[in-house]
Amino acid sequence: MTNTKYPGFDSEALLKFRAEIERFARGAQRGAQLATGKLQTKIAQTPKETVWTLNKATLYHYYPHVPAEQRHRVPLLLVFALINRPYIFDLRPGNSFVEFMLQRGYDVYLLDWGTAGPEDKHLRFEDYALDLLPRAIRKLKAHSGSREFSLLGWCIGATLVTIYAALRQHDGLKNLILLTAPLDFSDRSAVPYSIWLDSEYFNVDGLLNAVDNMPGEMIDWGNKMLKPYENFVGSYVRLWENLDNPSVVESWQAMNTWVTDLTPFAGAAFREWVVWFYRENRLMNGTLQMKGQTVDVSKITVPLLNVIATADHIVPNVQSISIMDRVGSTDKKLLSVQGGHIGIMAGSGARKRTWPQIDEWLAARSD
Amino acid sequence: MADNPNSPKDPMQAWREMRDAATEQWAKAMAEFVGTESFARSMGAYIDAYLATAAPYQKAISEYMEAMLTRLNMPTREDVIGLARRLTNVETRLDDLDARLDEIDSRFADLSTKLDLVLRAVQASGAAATEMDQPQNRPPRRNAKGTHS
Repeated sequence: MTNTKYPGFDSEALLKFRAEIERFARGAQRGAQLATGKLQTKIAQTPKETVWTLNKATLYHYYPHVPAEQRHRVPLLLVFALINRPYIFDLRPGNSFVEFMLQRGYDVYLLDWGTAGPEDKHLRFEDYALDLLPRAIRKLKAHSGSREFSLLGWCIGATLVTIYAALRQHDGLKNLILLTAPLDFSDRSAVPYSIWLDSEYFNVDGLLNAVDNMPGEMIDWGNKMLKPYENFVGSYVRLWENLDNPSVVESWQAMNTWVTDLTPFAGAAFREWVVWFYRENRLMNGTLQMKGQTVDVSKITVPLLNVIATADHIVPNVQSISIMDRVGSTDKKLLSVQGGHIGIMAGSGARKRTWPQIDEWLAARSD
Repeated sequence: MADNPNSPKDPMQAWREMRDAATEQWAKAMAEFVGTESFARSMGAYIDAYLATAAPYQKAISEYMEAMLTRLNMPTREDVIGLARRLTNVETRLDDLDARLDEIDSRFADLSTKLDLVLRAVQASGAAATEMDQPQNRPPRRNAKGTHS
């Protein structure tokens, strides 16, 4: 509406401009609190107990939410990647996959690989998949009293549980769930990583000789460089826009805490990741050897749920889908969920879009 | 005076639209750039340059520190790493023993269940035998003549 006293002067625009200034002032205050660390978001709050530790690895058991007689018989073990911390499964109250599954009657365990030190630089994929993981599973079975269990692996955690499932078919694995699983690296154009890690450009041995383990900061930088503008600029612009919205700020801070809580990738395992997986695609070529055995994914016969994210820029869908035709499982489902690599499980839409579908699939196979 | 349809009701809106359009273009351009061989080459060259310049210094410092700590009778980095590995080996042995104990525990539990079943069966057959032994339940005996006694 134009001001009649002062023709040509748009008072509505002025009001909106003033509202914007006020919003900016409110946001600036919260932004200052955020920048000075006075604004803290509680993360990983679901109560749990430690049931097993070995070297840096820890197996946690979350206290069940429902009585034993109403609980699903088969416990669920969550396995995250070798980079970043696994509390992304339990990010914050009200936005926690662990909390959700406990409410749905599961007995939930979480395997934390811990932070690799220089003494762990020799740890290889087979140490994680065929030594630490089976030991944690043994303890899970002793603790839960169940001879069967379900495994859910996310990102490189999904690669590890795939190797385990292929080589340990008689260990009591009842159900296998893969989340955004990097398994098939045959398509070099699918993700810039395939080009960056090419032997022509990336001297993995030279780097590991200098640093022992691959620093988490370098991996994080690589992940962010896949979408540089969104990660280095867009994320902060969105935060700036929503500084006056406490729930958005809280959500951003929780995710930012997780993203910046980095762990190094054990040197030998990182070398295998680059050479055996990215460059030589050994898992899908059927040439991957672990502890002297060939990893044959057709030996996987348990029910399989393979969850992919439509907008996954870290693990493009082509890296996850092809296993569906290779496994021996007859009960298998490919579930495509709208969202990104982390967003499908920890984003604001996960509670509506992803978790109920995982629960529905798993509940039918956990009693 | 009628409102000018082109007048900006929200002066920030125009800025936001302009920013979003630029963001989209920048994001697309940057994503395309990082996916090129030339970017991979320059990133590799950067890491190689770092290794070529920093690694010799790092090696020299490590050697100097090791010599210095040894002279001071202090454990070196390698000593601490070796100790950590030995601790992990001990932990692994303990985990093996823990696994054995769990297995023994489980077998005892199985054995206990089976023994309970056997005991119940023995008690049940004992009770049945006692009941059979009652005079009124005894089957009639035949005497030498073949008649019931």
